[in-house]
Amino acid sequence: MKCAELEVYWEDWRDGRAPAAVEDHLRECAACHELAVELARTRRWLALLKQEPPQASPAFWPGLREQIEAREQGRDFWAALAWAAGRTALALAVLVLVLTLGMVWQVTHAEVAEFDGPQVYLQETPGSVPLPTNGQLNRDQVVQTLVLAEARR
Amino acid sequence: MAGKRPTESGWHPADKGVGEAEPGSERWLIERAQKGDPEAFRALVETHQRRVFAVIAHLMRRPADVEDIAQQVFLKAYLALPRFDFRAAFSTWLYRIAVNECYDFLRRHRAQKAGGAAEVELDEPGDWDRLEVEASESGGSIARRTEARQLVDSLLSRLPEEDQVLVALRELEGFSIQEIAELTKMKENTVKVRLFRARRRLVEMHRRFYSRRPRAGS
Repeated sequence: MKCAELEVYWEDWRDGRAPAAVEDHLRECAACHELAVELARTRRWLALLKQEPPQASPAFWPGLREQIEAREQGRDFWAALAWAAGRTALALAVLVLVLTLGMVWQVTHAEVAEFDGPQVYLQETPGSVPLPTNGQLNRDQVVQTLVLAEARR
Repeated sequence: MAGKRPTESGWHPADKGVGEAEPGSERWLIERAQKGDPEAFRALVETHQRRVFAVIAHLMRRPADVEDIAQQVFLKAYLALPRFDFRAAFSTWLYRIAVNECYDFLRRHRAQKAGGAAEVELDEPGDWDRLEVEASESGGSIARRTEARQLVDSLLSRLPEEDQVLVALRELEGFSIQEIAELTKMKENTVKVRLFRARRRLVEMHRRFYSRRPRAGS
């Protein structure tokens, strides 16, 4: 055993549970032996600090209970606040979702109306303008159709 | 207990069906307390308060502060109780909270003391002789034992807070190395080495002060 290892084994030596090698080393090494004895002496000094623990006063439990109740009430307040904040966030999320869906629907619907309008109009005024074979009107044909329709109205 | 409605007293009523622990056993009390039963928690406090007071008293060495710190320990234990999972012994878990609370207190105390509070001086001629006498003899007047105790207290106070706690747990509370390792979440060898070095520092302080002062009769 090396001198440096004493720091790992001293507590075991103190408890009488150190390996035999530690005892052998302490017999052979005067410096370690002196240190081990001096360390053991600190135990006697420290024993002076041993004391009977103070008894709990009659106010101990009521005081503790009061602190627990105060914490519980505080905790309930924050829990309620968190609950309310959570519900508000959920409501806002639903609102945003509904608005978004509404806008999407509106945009989609507007495109359909813009596209469907001339088709409906052409069906209501058959013969005003000869329909092309491919079913599509050029710009001039659309203008002509609208002017005729306005005149009839 | 979070999420339940409090009663008028602020305590939540105990739920039924708390498990299969034997009624009256510590596990049963813990399970009841976890569900918010104040009487179960009170029983746990009464069971452990003496040892908790002793641990705090020896770690802090300031009797006036013991009860306040003990209240903080049990308050923290109550608040953390829903997370207690029975993997460690309840007493170990509780003492760990006490040790941590003492660390915090010692650190705060050191910060306050850094302002320049008076400390017992150890290099007065004869102090160490008295210490040796008082430490080695069971007799002696109360006044002299008190004085010697103050000297040792001052000596111990010069160690870092963590070392003070380790030494107090080992020497004053008589915990084993394994128990201290559990309480402080250190490895056993780390505890042994730190204890050794803390003791060696005490010895070195003794040697330094002893060599400074004139020997009696010289």
